[in-house]
Amino acid sequence: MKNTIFLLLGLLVPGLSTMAQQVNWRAFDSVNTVVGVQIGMDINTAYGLSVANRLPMGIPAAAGIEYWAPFGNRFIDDWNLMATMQGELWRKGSWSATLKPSLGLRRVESPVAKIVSLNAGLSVSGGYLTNRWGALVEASVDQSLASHLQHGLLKETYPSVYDGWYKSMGGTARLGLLANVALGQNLLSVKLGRSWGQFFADSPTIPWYASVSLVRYF
Amino acid sequence: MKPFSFLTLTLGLLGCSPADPLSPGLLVPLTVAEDPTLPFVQVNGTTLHAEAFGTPGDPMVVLIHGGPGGDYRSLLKAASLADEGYFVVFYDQRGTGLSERVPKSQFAGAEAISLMVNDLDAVIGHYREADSQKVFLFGHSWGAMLATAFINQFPEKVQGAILSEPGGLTWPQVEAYLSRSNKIRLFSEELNDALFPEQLFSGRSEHEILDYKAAYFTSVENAPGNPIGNAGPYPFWRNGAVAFDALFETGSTYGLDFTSNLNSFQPPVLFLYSELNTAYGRAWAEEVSAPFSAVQLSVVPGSGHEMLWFGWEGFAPQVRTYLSSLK
Repeated sequence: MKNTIFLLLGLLVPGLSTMAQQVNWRAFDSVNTVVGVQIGMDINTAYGLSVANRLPMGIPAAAGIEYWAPFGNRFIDDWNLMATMQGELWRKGSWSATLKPSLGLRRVESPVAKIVSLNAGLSVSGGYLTNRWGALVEASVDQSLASHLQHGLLKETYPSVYDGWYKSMGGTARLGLLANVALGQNLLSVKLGRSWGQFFADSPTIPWYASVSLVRYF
Repeated sequence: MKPFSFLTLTLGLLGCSPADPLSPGLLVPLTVAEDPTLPFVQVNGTTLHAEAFGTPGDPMVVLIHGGPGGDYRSLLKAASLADEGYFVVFYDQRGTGLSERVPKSQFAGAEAISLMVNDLDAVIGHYREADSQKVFLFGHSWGAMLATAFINQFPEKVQGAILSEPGGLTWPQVEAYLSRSNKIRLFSEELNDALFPEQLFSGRSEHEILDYKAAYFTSVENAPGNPIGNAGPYPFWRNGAVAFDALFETGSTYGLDFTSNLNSFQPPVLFLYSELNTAYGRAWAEEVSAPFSAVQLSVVPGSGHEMLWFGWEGFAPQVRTYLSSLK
């Protein structure tokens, strides 16, 4: 199908899709690969890169990699790397719905501890897409599956603190709006939304997210 | 098979059985409710981690830690006052440090501050041997605010007070000070070091996880170039995240004013501020201490806000001179 392409918009956010984006399936017709850059705020200030490639399936679908990292003066100590799949599961005219599962690895390094965490996410989006622009509602969840903690400063204050693998200690949920517009060979996308802790039990310190991304297709 | 079950199986095959973060003592130290070897007092319906140094009948100096939600570990250099004829008492406030965890509901409503004041009154009552025994309060940061709240309510029960950098004695003062001391730099390494882990520890109400998560914010407070002048991290046992949240909510919801009756307190107060805390300074110390009838205002050289840990050498002589004058 000719009108399957993607755009990937999105990048970032761990595990899910705060900053990550699904493709505007209508925007590009004969594209195989999409590369994007993104900047925004989600839990913390962050930037990201992403790449996705069309999958030879009966529906518009793509597989991709998303890398996201918080700002700071140490370049590669904290990051999130996600493998994603996304597919347009439903379409009626210009109305469209997309499902996007993801699985990833997250690393955190601070004076307190070094953490490596396995996480999984699921994003559902739906809205109006044309080949020039799109507007969607997006909901997503991101769950930590297990984390390995190696303590630094905390080891000094509490020598008995346990270093090793821990079961899940939480996850996040997000709900937001996404809009994109085609600019020649590029797609500009903006996201705004609200974040909660697992099961809406609490909110992160910065409970809102916002991002801008620019995607180019090849 | 659920993803988590699959992961657990995989890790198990690799010899890695994930630990339960709620297992006592794994992420945060055991409290007096879990470790019977810790020193404690049972007062006012709760069990507090507490200990005392010196001869019980000597003039009493009660150390009151900061936060809210901190603990007294970084104040322990003041235990040396016991060598100079003082009975020095330390306690972790309700729901903080190694004191037992308590539900947030205990801090509910406008009476939360009175609860903390009554806890302090009960600690003094527990250790005091005679009505003639003098009592001096020694409060740091939030602890200096709590000491002032106590004096405001019970001026006749205290014979002197040492206050080191209380953020403010009214809620507007607290807000003004926090706006200077907690500057937010959104793109900084230290802030993102604290916020990034929130993706992992979220949506959980268990106090162990909340306390553990709060520890990550020490990277912000003590980062190089911090406005409060701390030279680096300082020791603590446990961040009492629930107590911190609850008492902060109390202040922002109901306000606070610890100055309404301070003119009833006649002894001089030793009011100290640190040389390196750029959010404080002499002008702010003069404004905050103004409601007291008599104030000895002084600076602790070469230290930032945590001056009982980083600046004790410059702090101690002033404390000794002050206490000797009232002993």
